Amino acid sequence: MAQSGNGMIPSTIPDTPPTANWPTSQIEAWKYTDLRHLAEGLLWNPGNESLQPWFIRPHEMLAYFSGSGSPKKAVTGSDAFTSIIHSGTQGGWQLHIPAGLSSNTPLRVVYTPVSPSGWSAFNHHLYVEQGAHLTLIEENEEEEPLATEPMFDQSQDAKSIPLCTMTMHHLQVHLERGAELKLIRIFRCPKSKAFVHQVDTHQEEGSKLEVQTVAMGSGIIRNNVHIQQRGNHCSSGLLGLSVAFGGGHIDQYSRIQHHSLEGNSHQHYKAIAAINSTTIFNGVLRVEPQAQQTNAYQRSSNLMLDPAAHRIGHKSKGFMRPGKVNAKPELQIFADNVKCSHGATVGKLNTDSIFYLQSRGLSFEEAQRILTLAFAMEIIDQLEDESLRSEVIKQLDLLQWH
Amino acid sequence: MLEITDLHASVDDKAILKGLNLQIRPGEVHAIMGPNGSGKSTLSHVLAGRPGYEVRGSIQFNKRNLLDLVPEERAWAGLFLAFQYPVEIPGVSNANFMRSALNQVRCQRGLPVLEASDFLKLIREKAALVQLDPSFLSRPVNMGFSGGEKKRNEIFQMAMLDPKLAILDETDSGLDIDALRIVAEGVTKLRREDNSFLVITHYQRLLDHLKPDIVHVLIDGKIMRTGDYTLALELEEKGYDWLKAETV
Ligand SMILES: Nc1ncnc2c1ncn2[C@@H]1O[C@H](COP(=O)(O)OP(=O)(O)OP(=O)(O)O)[C@@H](O)[C@H]1O
Ligand SMILES: [Mg+2]
Repeated sequence: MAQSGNGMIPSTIPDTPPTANWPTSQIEAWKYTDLRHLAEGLLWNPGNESLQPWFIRPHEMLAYFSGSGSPKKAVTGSDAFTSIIHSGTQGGWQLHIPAGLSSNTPLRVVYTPVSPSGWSAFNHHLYVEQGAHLTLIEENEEEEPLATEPMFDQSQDAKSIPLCTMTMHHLQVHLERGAELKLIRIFRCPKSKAFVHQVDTHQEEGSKLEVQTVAMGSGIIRNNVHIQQRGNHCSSGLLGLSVAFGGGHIDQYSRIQHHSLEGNSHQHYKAIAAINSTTIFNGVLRVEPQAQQTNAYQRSSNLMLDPAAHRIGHKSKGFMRPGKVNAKPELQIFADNVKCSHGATVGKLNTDSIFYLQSRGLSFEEAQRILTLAFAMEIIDQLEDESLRSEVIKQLDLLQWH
Repeated sequence: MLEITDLHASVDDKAILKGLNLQIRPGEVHAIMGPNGSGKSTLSHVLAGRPGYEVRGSIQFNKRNLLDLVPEERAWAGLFLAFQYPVEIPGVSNANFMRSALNQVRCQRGLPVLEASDFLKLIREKAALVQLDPSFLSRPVNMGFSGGEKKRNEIFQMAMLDPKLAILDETDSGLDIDALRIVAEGVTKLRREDNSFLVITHYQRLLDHLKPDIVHVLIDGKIMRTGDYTLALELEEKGYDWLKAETV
């Protein structure tokens, strides 16, 4: 049995700054979010033993092992991002869920803000043994609630504002046979901060993974979900919602690789790019030649909010550009007997719908608010955490339209 | 109630309304008939404030200059348009939509916001008036509704919002015989001395139920003829060609 605070391992903290080889936009996967550019002028923030910018809060007592030393089987990658994390890491948490254990009460990992300013990197491990079930909620906490100031005040892109902190997390997950994991995450990012998260999952036979991610803010968020289906009959489901406002930049990247028979994967991402803000979805689906009878689909729906839709005669109070969306599905199918589909849509709010609502007495702003919420609702309804659902609805409600 | 003087409307330099005049007094029911493409829906859109039209002329609505008002202000002032093609809104339930709209309208008219229980009572009562199955209230606005169900939903919304002037743009098209009677009876029940209706239709049948006070014929963007109910009968019999011939 474990109490709050368990599950952490003291790690060997490097005391000299790592020479980081940042991924740049030259790398296809980092095309829209250039980490080298972002890290410019940021000092490395070497943590110390007492610095533990996260805590784990079990909702109720939950039995788990807190491993120490290196995890049973690390899933280390060799890409640019992982190498930074590994050279600059200040530690991380490690969880080991023993075989057969299953609990209905979710476990919550909370990342608290890192001070002082600079860039920081953390490396976490989660190992779920045979047949164990776990729901893990992962979130970051900020000192202040996300900005709600009118969007037109934000005359600058988050990418052109110097950052004060960049926080990076790398979570490596191993699901043994028949293990089931629900990973529910919410990332909130205020202006002048960047939050970069990558989860690398290795799935063994018959394991089930669900990742739900909500990313909101006026800072910079990059969220990578990498999945390797190594055993037969795996299933992976990704659900994502991005809400970028006030100049925010939110980049959701997924990479699912099917290596085995009869794998299942489905992805549904929605993004709202408010005025002056940018969202990106880049989903790579790769089906290897041996991964026959794979069933995979990927859907990305994107909404750009547009100041030009504002009422004629309404004086704009500063620089405004419409929300910007990049949606890029990448299907690499090398097996012949598979079912794979994808679809990406980018659109604005429908002016006929706005007019219809207005004609019933709802204000222009209210009409847009209702339609934007309705767009997001399809994802929000599926989020498996009540407080997260209401937080997202509240945040959307706070978006200002004029 | 409504006074339209020399109204012109065009889209992308294409003139659609070409000097239209119309007056409606409180308590009256007016019907507008006219061939396809003559500008009937355009008139209803211009009245409701739909963007995209170049508009000239004047529209007085209860002593206010309607053209100065944005669409929601027109709704607050008591104007309602039942759309020829009601819009589907996924993700927004009919009941929530009506709650927001009604409270907004009431607030603007200086009435208190309705308590949840009073709202529920009202919404049930009005749904019953047009025999709209209560299950439609929890469904997203117009999503997957049949043509006739959408029209009925428009009349339901009208009943909820209690307008001073309701414009019904071909609400009867697509309704079966029973639904037509239900809608007509609904409208009749909502008639008062202080509210008016402008009914756009192609068919005699609705007018049989509604007994309009005045019938207009709109051809090529202008009111070509105005008369009483017998004008509708005459049109039914002779069509529009004899009127069109007078135009040239
Ligand atoms: N947005 C637009 N762009 C171009 N032409 C338009 C537009 N809206 C209307 N029109 C044209 O204006 C004319 C009048 O259209 P309107 O919809 O008002 O006709 P209507 O009298 O309601 O016809 P119906 O009886 O078929 O409903 C038509 O020729 C139509 O094609
Ligand atoms: Mg029409």
